[in-house]
Amino acid sequence: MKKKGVEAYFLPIILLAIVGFFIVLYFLVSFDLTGYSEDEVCKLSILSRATSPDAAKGVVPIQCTTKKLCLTKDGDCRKNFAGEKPEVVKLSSDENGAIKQISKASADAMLDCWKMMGEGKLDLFGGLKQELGFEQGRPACVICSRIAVDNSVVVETLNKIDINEYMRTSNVEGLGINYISALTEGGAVSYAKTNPIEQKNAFEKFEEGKTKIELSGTKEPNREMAIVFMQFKPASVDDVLTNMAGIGGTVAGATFLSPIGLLARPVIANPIGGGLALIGVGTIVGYGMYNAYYGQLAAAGYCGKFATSGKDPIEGCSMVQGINYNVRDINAVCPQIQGNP
Amino acid sequence: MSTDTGEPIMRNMNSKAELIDNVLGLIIAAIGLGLFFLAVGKFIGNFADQDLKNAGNILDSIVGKIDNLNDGEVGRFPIKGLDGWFFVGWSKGDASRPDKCFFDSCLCICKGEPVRASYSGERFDERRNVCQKDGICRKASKDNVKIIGVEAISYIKMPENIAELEINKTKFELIMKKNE
Repeated sequence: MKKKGVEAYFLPIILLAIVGFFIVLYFLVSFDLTGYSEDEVCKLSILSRATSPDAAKGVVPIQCTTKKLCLTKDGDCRKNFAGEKPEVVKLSSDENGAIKQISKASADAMLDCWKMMGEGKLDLFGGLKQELGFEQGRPACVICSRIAVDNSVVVETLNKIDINEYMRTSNVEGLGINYISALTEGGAVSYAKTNPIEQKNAFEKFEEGKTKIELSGTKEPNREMAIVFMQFKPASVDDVLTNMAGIGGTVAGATFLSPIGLLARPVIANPIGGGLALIGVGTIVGYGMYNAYYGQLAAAGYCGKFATSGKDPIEGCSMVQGINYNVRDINAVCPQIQGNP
Repeated sequence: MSTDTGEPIMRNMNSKAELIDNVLGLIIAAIGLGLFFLAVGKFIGNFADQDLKNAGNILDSIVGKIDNLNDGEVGRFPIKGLDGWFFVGWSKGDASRPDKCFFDSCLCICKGEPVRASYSGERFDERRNVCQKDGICRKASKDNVKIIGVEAISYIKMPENIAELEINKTKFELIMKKNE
């Protein structure tokens, strides 16, 4: 009886263990990312990154592939995407229709990028070296999308595109709120009115940095824009928000929206050196954003505590922005880029 | 051995149960650990070859841009970098090209150090070995390929962000360099 009792106790456990083993093994063997869409793989990798301990973040790569969108009337995307596989969006022959399509594609790409990256609240680029103080936090980026408008769209049409205005006046499909509100979690529904004097001051402040200000001298607009997600860890997130407010941006809690106007553009904190610096503003404004469809696309961001798996919340800033897709502008903002080309 | 009260038998039974319990615990722990490592391996394995895939995509994009150029045209293209990798090319007549180029001129993106420096400061060309082992190559559309690098052993180091690649396609050769 006693022996039987022992068997009766252990047998179900052994059976359960074996069955459990095969069930888990089945799921492990059948786990394959190739069956997932690019967006799903990206989300999975972002969540894996964000929930990994800092030391392990380096071995969990960000698996977000840059979306390539070609907006065209006649379907020739070779100039921008030769050797690549872009999604081709056929534009309406009607000018207003084409303008709306281009604005919507750009605004959607910006919002998608922001949502995909956890609305900037996830710590995606922390690393062991940084933790141990071997390396100061450098801004890191993911290029979510590249959007090109091909030569079939005339410059006069490009000049009429105002993505900022589209984001203010149009609602996001299925959400019932405008893009600005969706980007700032309801913190803003419109842009701040910028004060030209403040703009001038901000620009002069930048000039004091002895960085060469080079406004766009090109006669032809850059027809390709990148929607870039950037994250950095400044010495103080409050300083960034204060500075953002100082140049006329909308700051609502931890979210911010850059002002739109003539020249003043978002402030990017330069964590290297510890202080705030208006790095690359001239470059971004004059050459990048100012020239991106001539549109001066606004930037939305978050500065605050990141959601983290660790005990101590880490503070940082994240931002999503449209930047001209060229080496000079992208590299001015992004010392390192992660994700798939 | 046994007494009338049967205590040693009970003790024997108890120790047997304890032994089974322990062995069972060990087996379950081993299975659990095995599954954990399998899961971690599977997860990392899904990501591990991503760099190679990215290298292939970058190289395909470069080849596509070359093909899109007419003879006599010069194109400048932003190309996403790949940290720890370099870009290199070999002409058809170059005997030092990797075997994976077969009998053609080729362009390759390879992982590692293209140049090995000895203690005496002598520099050895490692491009062929590195590319043969950890590289991805594509046939070039021209027989002659010239990569203009910063040193005698020419290659283009891929950056962490993006690089502007200048491609000069002539009737007989491809000349490529990275614009700073």
